[in-house]
Amino acid sequence: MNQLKLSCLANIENETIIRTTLVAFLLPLNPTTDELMELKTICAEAVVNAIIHGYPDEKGLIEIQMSYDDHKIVTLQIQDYGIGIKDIELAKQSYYSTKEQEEHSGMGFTIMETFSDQLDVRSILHQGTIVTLTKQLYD
Amino acid sequence: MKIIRDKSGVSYVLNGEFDNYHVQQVKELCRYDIEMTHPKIVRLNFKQVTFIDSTGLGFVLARYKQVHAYGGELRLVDVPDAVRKVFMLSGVFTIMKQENTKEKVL
Repeated sequence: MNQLKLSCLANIENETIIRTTLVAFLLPLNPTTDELMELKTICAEAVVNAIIHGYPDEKGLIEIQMSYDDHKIVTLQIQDYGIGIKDIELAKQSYYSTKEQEEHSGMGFTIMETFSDQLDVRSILHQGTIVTLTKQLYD
Repeated sequence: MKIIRDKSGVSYVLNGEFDNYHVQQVKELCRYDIEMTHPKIVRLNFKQVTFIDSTGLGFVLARYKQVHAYGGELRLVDVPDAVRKVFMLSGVFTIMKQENTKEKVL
């Protein structure tokens, strides 16, 4: 097993760094190309959400915890201390976006749900959001 | 992003990790170029794209709407498997044509 925590300012440039770090972190598990691509994508979706939706105005901190256990179950936890999500079920709906005019697809949660085994979203208005994703890797 | 024009229209050749940051870099140029030239066929070439997320998907859907609005056609060219998996989730292939450029054999 292994665990790594990152903390950074909610700048969009940092999403690339987090995603690249995740790839390096997962290397000992020898993931398949598909598994790696799926984990990179769900990580990007959760981090981008925290950055642009969590902090629409003043940029705060986001914290990322990546881990895996001896059974190759990978867990990603992305936390922000931003505005929170008013209606989680609505946010999860495909094609729903609060930023449609900015060409967002509204597919972020759909991608997270499809490419992970489990998605858990906890949010408190004006306090922040924690997204936890788990995915089993296979030999 | 590379822009290639021919008689049939225009190709935007995208590359690398087409993530949120990357999309922000090319979005305005692409939108403006299409608005100014109204090409009959707009091709988005993904051959050199290694990663895409929902922002990239949003970019594709927005270009489709933009091109469709003036009667043009948007085509997706050389879509790699990693990109295809994300596209499949949204059904873009039901509304957009795909093309594969043939490798020239010497």
